[in-house]
Amino acid sequence: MKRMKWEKAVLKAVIILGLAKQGVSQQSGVATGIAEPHHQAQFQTVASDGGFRYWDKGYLLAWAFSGTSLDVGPNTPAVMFYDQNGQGKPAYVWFEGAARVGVADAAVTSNGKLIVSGGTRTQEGIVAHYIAEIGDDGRVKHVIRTTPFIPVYICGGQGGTVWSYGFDRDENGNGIESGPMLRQFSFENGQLQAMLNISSLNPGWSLPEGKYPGEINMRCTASSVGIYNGRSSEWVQFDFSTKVLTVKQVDPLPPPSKLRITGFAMTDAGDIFASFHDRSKATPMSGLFQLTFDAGGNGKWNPVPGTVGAYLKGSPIERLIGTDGTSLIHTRARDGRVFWSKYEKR
Amino acid sequence: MKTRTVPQLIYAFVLVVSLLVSVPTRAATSYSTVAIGGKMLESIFDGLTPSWFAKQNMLQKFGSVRFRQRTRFSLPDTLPEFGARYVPVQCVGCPPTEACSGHFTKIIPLPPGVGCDNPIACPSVNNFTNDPSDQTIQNVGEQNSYCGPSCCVDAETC
Repeated sequence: MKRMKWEKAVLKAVIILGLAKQGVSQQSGVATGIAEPHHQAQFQTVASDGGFRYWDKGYLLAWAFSGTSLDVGPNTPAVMFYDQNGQGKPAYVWFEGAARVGVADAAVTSNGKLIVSGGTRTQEGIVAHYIAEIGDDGRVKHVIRTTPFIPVYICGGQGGTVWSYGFDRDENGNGIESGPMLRQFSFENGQLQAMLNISSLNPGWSLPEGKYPGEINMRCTASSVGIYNGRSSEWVQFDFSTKVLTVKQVDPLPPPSKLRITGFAMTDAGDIFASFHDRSKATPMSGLFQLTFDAGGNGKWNPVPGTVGAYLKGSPIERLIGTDGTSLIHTRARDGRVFWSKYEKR
Repeated sequence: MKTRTVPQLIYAFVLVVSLLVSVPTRAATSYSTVAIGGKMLESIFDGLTPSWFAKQNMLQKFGSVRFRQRTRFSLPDTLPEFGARYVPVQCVGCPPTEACSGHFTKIIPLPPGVGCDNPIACPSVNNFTNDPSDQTIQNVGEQNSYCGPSCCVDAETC
């Protein structure tokens, strides 16, 4: 009898410890707030209207704003990349025989190389799609012709490889529904692997970039590549070490007419953040939100305490620009100042 | 005399051959290009044929009617041959990252079936134009919305 009591006590302790551990693991990445900025810099491109920019592996990448364009020329910068002090360098993308070159996305590889994706055509109408690595001279050094795959988004994967989210297009210009949407490329061997079929996903992937730029986001860390689709309410992640592709459901966001994703980041620890702009009320609101998952794998966007408030009048987050791995990089106002802030976790 | 001629002939032969070999059949690129399958290419356009939708007359047609469908399964608008995105320039009074662009925008209703291949789901697709002479609409831009299963693009002001 005494022994049974002792066994029960041990069993109880094991269960409690197990539950506690489970609880800790679920809560370990939950942000409790952001610290005061430990660095800031001025970026004119952040203050200017239009264009695309985000922070990726040491650089603020900016394109399709004043000085660059989606439709570039041989001597027109395709992308500007700025270091953390605001010093910028141009990247030029042009191909021999091209009459036109377009830019779709830009990123930085794990070994610090700038990469650009897009499409190009000749005067005769020959179309090719590309992922280009930019050399130290700011010009194209290596190219992957991804045709018939159209690389909508790119990010730098392990060992200098490139991950891309996109779709196939046939010779008549139509999308190929059965084509895998997530692919890994290298500049030496072309495509290395392909996965993620639209038939296994919720509706909401027919528009490659969503209803507005920012509704679908893709990021790479040293350990995984992730895609969040705010339209289909799904989080897709491929783990580099386990080679497992997972698709998780996320609680739907309000429609774009009420709420928009204005920034996105995935830290080295795998924590996923976004900034939202909520215009559903008379006073527009903004703030930082974190995507967390329960034990069942269902995701939910949770406000980071102390970050949600009236847009430009209370919230310390105007927009999330990205992450340097551990800090969140964001703006507070639309004055071009960018801040680096650590986030606190429990 | 004979001993001098032979080396000169050999030298001339080597020179001519080396020149012939070094003359490229096409201008060499300063970058390497690999196809999706891993094959090295001399040009990014190697082995590809012109696409009907990227020919000049078709591009002009798309541009003239602003055939603005941007799904995976139809031709997009801006940079139609590339499948690339358009510029979401922010306009005055609109929140950040709006897919909102331009100024002096005027909405133009299109007849059923024009600008969209689905007149049932999208009976009233709008186009737009810009009228810089009308200062009252200086701060009016255009913004896309979508309708129908094929996601036709409908312009609205912002």
